[in-house]
Amino acid sequence: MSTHPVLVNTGHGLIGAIITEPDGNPRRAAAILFEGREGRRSGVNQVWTLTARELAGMGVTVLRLDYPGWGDSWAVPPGIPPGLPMREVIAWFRERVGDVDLLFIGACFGSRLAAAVATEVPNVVGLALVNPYVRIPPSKKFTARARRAVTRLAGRSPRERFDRSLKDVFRGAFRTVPSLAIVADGDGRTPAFMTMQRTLREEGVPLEVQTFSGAGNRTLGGQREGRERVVAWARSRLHELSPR
Amino acid sequence: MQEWASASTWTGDGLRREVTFFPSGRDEIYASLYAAEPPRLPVGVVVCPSWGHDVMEQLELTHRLAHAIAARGGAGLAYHPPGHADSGGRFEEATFERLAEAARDALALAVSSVPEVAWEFGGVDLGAAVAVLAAARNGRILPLVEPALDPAAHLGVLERAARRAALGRVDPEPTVFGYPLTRRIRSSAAALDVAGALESFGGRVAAFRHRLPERPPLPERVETHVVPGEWRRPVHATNVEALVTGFGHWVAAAVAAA
Repeated sequence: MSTHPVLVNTGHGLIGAIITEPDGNPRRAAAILFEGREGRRSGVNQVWTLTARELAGMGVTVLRLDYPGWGDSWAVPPGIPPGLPMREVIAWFRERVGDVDLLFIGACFGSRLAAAVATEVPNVVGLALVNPYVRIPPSKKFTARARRAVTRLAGRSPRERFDRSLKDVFRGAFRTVPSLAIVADGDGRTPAFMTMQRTLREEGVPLEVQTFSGAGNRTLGGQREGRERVVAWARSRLHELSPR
Repeated sequence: MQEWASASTWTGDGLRREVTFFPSGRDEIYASLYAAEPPRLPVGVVVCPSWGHDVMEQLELTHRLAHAIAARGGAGLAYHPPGHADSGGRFEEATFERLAEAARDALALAVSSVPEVAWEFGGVDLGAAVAVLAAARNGRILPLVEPALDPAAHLGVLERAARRAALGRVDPEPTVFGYPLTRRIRSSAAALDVAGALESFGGRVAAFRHRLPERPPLPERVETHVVPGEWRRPVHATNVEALVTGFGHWVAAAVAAA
């Protein structure tokens, strides 16, 4: 396995990314890992760095890219829709890895982009979303924060609404690409996602959901669950496509 | 592979960018270089990052500080500490001595990448303590941003903040926003003599920090520059522009004066 840092010159500024490449040829598949705004391409405590290494061990070339405006890509001007430079990076990656099967993995806010792009790019054979962020951002007012804290202390999840403008994007992705959502039952992002998932299921939209106990990636257990489940999902998808 | 290697550098608008891995101990460490093309200011600064969650949160700040020197004609290098972000190594094995060793290896990379400038250390938050340790007695300048020069006390502050934010959803072992607070890093912090190292540094030391929150003054030999605003989490919600500008301006002026 080898790791290569790259700077992709898009029409909207440089985007930094890391390529993790398996040893030997030919490539079995490729994967793109989308982190969210305010997240980092390595994930909390290197969760995506380690995931990429495990996927490379299975013969998958992995691209982990910055969310525009963050990390090495901090100089992308604010106001540029993040999908624009990211689509250019994906096209750049696609040119280099060739016509192999592609797995998309979206984390948190990056799930939105992964879902949006999954229907545009050929050969996307799987979409995994880890603790997807579809809720309306919670109010930062003191009273609202205090109410949420009291609710959590009482052992309940605060009520969260999902952003309805995202429904078409996720519906399209789930109908086109076999998809899996991995969510922590104690994560603040989960209630809104589950509400959205219920409404989509009523429409007959296919989506597998795996729930695990605990909080999201701010705990070591949550990080481990996310990583192990993504790797297991990728292994299973690759085996279904080309058993060997 | 060739297809990836050719994409690790970029030059344009009078700036050279380079991303790479360099060896440090048994680990491969990620680094991101900013250099004026051609150099017009004979200084470069290796920006030492903090530890744990703060490395992630302050990532853009470290890049912007490195860029601030390059934009003035010099060079800057940001990197990820061992066991953090894109670097190799195990997070649990981090000690302040190891972090300082990686900083010195980053300096060696910087010198070989841009030999036209004299490289110095700088640091952010706990990275300021790392910079002080890495510099030892050597260097003309030591610019620090929001320095945490008492690492043991600072780790305690982080632990309490993380516990409050977690609201009871905690790991069985102590963590700080998803990063293990190991006995190893604690005992390493407790054994450090950052104040002593700072006293023995031969050059000028400057610190840039926000007016708020109010904190005890820094040691006398540190030229303290206070900028408006508040140092808060997440860092991007704070006025980092003032820190970056002050940092770049001071480094350029200090080198010119020297």
